[in-house]
Amino acid sequence: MKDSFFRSMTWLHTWVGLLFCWLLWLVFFAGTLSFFRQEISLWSKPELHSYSSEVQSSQQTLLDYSFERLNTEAPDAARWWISLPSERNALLRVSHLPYPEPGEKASWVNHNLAPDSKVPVTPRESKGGSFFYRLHFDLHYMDRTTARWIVCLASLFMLVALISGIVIHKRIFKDMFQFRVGKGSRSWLDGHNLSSVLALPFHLMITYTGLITLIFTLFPYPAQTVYEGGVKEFRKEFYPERQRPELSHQPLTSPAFSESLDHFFTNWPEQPISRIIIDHPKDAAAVMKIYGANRSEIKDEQAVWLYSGKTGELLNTVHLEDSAAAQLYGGMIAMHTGRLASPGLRWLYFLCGLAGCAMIASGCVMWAKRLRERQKPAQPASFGLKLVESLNLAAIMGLPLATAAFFYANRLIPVTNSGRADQEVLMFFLTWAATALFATKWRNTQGWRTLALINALAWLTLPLCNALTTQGSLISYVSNGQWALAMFDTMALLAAAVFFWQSKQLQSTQQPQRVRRERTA
Amino acid sequence: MMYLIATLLCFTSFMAFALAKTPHYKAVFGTRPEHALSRRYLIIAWIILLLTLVINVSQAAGYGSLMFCGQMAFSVLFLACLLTFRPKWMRSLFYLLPAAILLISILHAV
Repeated sequence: MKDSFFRSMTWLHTWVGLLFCWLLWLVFFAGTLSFFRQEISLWSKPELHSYSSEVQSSQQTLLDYSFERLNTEAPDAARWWISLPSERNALLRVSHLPYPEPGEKASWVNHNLAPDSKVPVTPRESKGGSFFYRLHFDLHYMDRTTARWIVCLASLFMLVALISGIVIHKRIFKDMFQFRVGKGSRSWLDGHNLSSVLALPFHLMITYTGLITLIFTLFPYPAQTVYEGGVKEFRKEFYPERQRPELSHQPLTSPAFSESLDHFFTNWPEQPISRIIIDHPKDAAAVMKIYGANRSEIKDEQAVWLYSGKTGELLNTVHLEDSAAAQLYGGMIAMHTGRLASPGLRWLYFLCGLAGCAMIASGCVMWAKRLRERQKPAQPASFGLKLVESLNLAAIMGLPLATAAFFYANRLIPVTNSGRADQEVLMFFLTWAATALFATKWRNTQGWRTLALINALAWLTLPLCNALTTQGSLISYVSNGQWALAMFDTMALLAAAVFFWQSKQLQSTQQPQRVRRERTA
Repeated sequence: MMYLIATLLCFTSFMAFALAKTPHYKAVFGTRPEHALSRRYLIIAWIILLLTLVINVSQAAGYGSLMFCGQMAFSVLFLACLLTFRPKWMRSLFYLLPAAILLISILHAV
């Protein structure tokens, strides 16, 4: 019984792992980069680099200014949106959404302002870190719902692979620190075990909470049973701040926004504001929503205060005192996204994410290597083995190269190009496709080595490209204390070093040794 | 600052875990450890690890546990690299780590 259990778990781990490993590699890679979403976005908009996140003006002053500006600029808008600067975002953003013309869809008019001088700043069009964030669960070039279903399935399989992995690699805790280099597939197994055991609590947590973020796709039945309108109706009740009031068609002559703000500042003086949204600012039904910034508490939804625009009274507060179930749900999502993290914890998250990438990549490679080893040297490789080897090379070496291409495109595509954000994404996928083409022909050690060298070169010259196309460079970032940008460049150099080391390793023996996937950005 | 102390303690704990294992002990000191010594290392490792958890959680329950997971990952990775490539360096850590923890604790207290 015990033996057959062990064997069935091995079967499960091998095949479940193989089926989704390339997709999981993409999801883990994009997710790991997403921990630094804001920093990557900052890097990809050099126009913002000269603004420090240390703001002199108080939140009250900034809000007064924004209201005044919106009043003169767009008194008749459908919505106003004021985003206040934060630690990770230096600019004040004042936006409005006009009422749509019949038959058309209105789009937001955004103004980014330097908070102290109020000078308008126009950053280049780029998705930046949000591209990787979306890639993480919406994939790309496909319908959102389909993509989320695929990612859901992949995470379920990941959880299965993790648990069966703990069963079959029973020595992982015994050999916790064991990593024998240069011993062929033994080293690969060590690498696989080490990367999974060192961040095992993280892997379990991130996979489980990842499923929770998509729980209403995967398991909508409780909400469908309780609410007549299903999940939609449930969301309406769970997120009252996302509902917009009906127009009353009575003009609002003297709005009470400043009274509401005074009320807020008196009653919650310690609470920083992250943004304010006003629905129908010139209608008697106007509602002002004040979003409080979350600090390091484990909670995802921001607390929201809803004020009436007409009378200035507090209508409702949301997510201020959540129920236990809502706290649990929000807590899990917060743990997954890591938005709560201060830089120290964020780096630990990043490290654990990299360990996850290494675990998946080493698992993929090990599958192919095991099969090769079992074959006689003269025996031709089966189609399946060739496919797995090509996919391994294309996915594992292609994704970092495509990421580098995305960053190059960000710097090299002219700022004036319309639709340049999409061109960056196109460059990402074109590079990846090119690597895949390469991998169909050269899947041997030489192919791995070539791609490792190309990757090393690409990541090595990225800081150089940055220095040539923008005002700053690694040296100026360090001397000005712009740590987010300095770390980006350092990580690019580190990635280059890792790829160079990998190519050395591949050269030194006939058999490819451990190929570490320390990826960065 | 407390998190830094916790990180160093966590590292110390995993170092003791590693030294409780014969091959790693041999790689660092060149001799085989006695059974009683390995046991002592193991007990010390568990005590320090629990202490680390207590320090983290006393800072903030949720955030502290996340930090704890991260610290363990960092410690194991760093130790595995050390043991693979430079096992002898761990000898100096014997003096450096307690000194660093003591220094930071004093700085924290002042």
